[in-house]
Amino acid sequence: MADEIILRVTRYRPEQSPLPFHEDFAVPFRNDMMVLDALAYVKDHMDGSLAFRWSCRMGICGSCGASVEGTPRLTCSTFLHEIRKPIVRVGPLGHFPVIKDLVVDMDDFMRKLQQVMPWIIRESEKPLERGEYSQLPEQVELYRQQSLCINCMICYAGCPVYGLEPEFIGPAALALAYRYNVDTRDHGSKERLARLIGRTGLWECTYVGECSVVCPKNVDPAGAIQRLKAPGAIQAIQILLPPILRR
Amino acid sequence: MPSTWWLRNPRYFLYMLREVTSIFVYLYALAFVVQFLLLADRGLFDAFRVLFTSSVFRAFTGVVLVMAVVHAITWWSLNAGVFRIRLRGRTLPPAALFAGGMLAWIVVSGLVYLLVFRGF
Repeated sequence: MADEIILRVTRYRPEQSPLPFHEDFAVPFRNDMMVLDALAYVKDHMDGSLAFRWSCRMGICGSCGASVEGTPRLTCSTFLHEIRKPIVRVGPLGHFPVIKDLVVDMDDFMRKLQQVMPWIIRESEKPLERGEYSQLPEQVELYRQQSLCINCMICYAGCPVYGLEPEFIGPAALALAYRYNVDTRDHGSKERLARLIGRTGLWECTYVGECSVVCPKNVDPAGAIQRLKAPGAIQAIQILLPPILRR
Repeated sequence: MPSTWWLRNPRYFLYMLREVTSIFVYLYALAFVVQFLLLADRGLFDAFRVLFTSSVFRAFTGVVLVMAVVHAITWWSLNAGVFRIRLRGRTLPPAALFAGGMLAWIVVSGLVYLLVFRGF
């Protein structure tokens, strides 16, 4: 690769211009350089006004998601040399309102996350002296994959259904609903499913599968949503039955 | 989102292709079911059978077969990429999932063919 790479960044500064525009930055190239390193170089040496989120630099915090060459990715986990292009396009995550440059508004995602109640719901708590709620390794394995979600919202940026229907609860929130529904310590699956079987929930997912492809932690939201559909359908049918026939 | 969103990404394109192929399969299934509804009227049923065995309908059947194959390939390749199935402590590779799915589809299709057209 050349000693230099052009980073074509989508800029958006609503206080100066109502429309987004592209700006090119020639960044020195190293083989071990991530896209985030290039953005940091621009901010430190070329334009301090460039806005982007980042924190851990190791694919854990989920802050640095952006669209790299049209694909939503964590910029801290994407090598520049993987892209193999002299000009690398970086923009904000798709389907979210942009606040400034690469910083998007997360409020909609946070609202949807709370909607699915991503916490353990107990019918009753046992006294502390009776110890913790223990689980067997195979019980942990039921939800381990979905518990790896880092809320980076990359699946939302990849999901065309969310782009077309913004009210859709979306992949990460539904994957987390699945994660708690299959947790043997949880008693809230019916309550949670009741929130998911409406118009904006499970049935909006048409199984494009892009959320699982782009997920940087292999959470497999598409698989989790499909696995929620069977109990969701059963619960939806049960609502139509007379109370005596409901379980 | 622009109406051409599905041209942005090859995986979106494959998704749309898979959705479109369903329409052909649906139309064939509809024509197949209509036969049974017409059984009550022998004249109508015979007329429909003539239509069903015409060269135009045979060509349509060929198109449906191609669409069904495309649908199966895109659907199972999607599943293979999406699902991570563990067997004896190991995650099955996507190629094995795809091959297993296609094999199951071919076996079930063969059984349906034998049942419907050969009566076992």
